[in-house]
Amino acid sequence: MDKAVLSIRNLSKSFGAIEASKDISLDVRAGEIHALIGPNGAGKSTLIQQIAGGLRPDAGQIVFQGEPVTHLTTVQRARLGLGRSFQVSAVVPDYTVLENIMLALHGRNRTAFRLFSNAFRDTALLAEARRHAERAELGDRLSIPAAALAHGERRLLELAMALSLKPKIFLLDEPMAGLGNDGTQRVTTLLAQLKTEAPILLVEHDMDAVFALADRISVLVYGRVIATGTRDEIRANADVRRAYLGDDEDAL
Amino acid sequence: MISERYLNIAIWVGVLGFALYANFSGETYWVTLATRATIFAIAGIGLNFALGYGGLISFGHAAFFGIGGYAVGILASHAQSFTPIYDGFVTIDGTQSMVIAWGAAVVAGALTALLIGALSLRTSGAYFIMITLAFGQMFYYFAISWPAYGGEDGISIYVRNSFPGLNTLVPFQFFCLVFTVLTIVILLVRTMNKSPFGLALNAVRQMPQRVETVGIAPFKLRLIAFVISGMITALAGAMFADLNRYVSPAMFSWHVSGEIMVFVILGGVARLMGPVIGAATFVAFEEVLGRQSEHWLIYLGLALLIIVLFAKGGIVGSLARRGTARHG
Ligand SMILES: Nc1ncnc2c1ncn2[C@@H]1O[C@H](COP(=O)(O)OP(=O)(O)OP(=O)(O)O)[C@@H](O)[C@H]1O
Ligand SMILES: [Mg+2]
Repeated sequence: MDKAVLSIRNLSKSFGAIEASKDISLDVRAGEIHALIGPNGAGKSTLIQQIAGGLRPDAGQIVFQGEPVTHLTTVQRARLGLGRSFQVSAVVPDYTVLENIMLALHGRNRTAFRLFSNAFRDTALLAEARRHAERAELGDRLSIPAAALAHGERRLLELAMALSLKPKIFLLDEPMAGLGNDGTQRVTTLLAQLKTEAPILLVEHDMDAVFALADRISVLVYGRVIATGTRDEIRANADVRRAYLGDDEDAL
Repeated sequence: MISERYLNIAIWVGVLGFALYANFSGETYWVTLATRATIFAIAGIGLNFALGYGGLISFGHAAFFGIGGYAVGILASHAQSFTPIYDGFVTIDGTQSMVIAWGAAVVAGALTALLIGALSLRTSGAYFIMITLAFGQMFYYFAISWPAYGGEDGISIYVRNSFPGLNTLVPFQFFCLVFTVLTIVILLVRTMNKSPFGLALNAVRQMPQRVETVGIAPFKLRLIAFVISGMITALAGAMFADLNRYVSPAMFSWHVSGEIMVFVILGGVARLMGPVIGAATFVAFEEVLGRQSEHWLIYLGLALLIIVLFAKGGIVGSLARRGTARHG
């Protein structure tokens, strides 16, 4: 079968008394969208953060393309091809859309330590930046500072910056939050294309989007993966139904 | 509000024009004041690179200013006494050449900044301010207690160092040299700020987690910025030694770090020409108010307070709108 691009093995992480990750194991395989769902505070962002490198797990292993990466820094993991987007937009506020994307491109191309060339001279790179912006529906917002973008547009810029890295896997933390129906539709279409370029670990609260996109779904509750399976398996799973019962049973 | 570009040119022309006017009306004292302001401007541009662009609030830039000064002073003192600095398997002599001494000052500044930066950039916020301050004071006490080079008395440079083709004893010629260096430094900093490095450095100040995520190491960016910053401020210290023909431990004192920071904040943090107008204003305050009242620093403090409270971008920020896009 498809081999795993990313394997998480027995990952645990506590914040004091809060066990945010409890013995989590899951795989993201080539060509798939693996959705990670669960109630607020379940530990989804904490898991993404440990995979991307911002948090060190207390125990367990992260294996990326066959190599353990648990001991690597965020920068090293980014260079290996982990392309991450943040739940709370972390774009450079003073920079325009184009400047933010150019920053990502210079990072990817490892040209960020050039001191005496102009960052915006390379027309091929500028053209590439525009293409990424257009893909994220920001083609006509290139010269708007990120701080002046609408909330939804800033989410799209997060996505555009992840795209620009041409990663080997996307780690997307709620890319559709606050986008509205129209935006959610368009990002859904984009993610469906994107998974042919690299697999996606998708954290998302929008169940319509999750069930439209995900090849497999893992359900996280109180730091523990209570189920992993296809859409139908998850819909039929009794534990999942129970965990979501108080919430929104019809969503499943 | 005018565009920042025109204001920058106006500031440059203003400093040059003042020195020209002073020279042709025979006011050599004013020429020397303009030279002093120009040297302070360079020190400020150095700090602004770390503080303004990199967000590194260093309260220890006197270390670099002093290192630059002492490099010139030590080289000159050995040249004056005809004793080599080092006499082992090679012999290193002193020098009275500005080119060589300033070059040595820049290298010394780079090494000092590499050392201080590598240790202090592991902290941030208030800790970074305190640790850079502590390093600055360490150099200060070291200089005071180093009898080989004058201790508290410092080093006098009896003969003005030389520069090929110039008579550096003529105040206006020395001004022209210093002003040329300022211009080159401004152009270099402008180029670096528009480079990919500048793009990443200004980003790391605002959103370090984003910079990491695109595969650029914040520590490396900050360390390089700190070293460049230290080199520029050391160069200013070297020229200051040549201006006064004297160096003393006072160059290392935290007052100097504070003054350099005042040039930057007064003129406009992260503004290319901010430190230039800031240093010029500082020297003007010192001269005009300092003559009338020994408490002129209080007035300067008030001016600073007003700027910090009401005009965030300093003098440049309140006169010019920011050039929006970084490119083009
Ligand atoms: N740095 C931290 N220090 C202490 N506790 C933390 C920290 N980060 C997260 N937590 C706690 O860990 C738990 C998991 O948080 P996390 O942000 O991963 O949840 P989530 O599933 O992403 O939630 P949401 O759907 O609201 O984004 C929460 O109880 C949270 O309060
Ligand atoms: Mg979250």
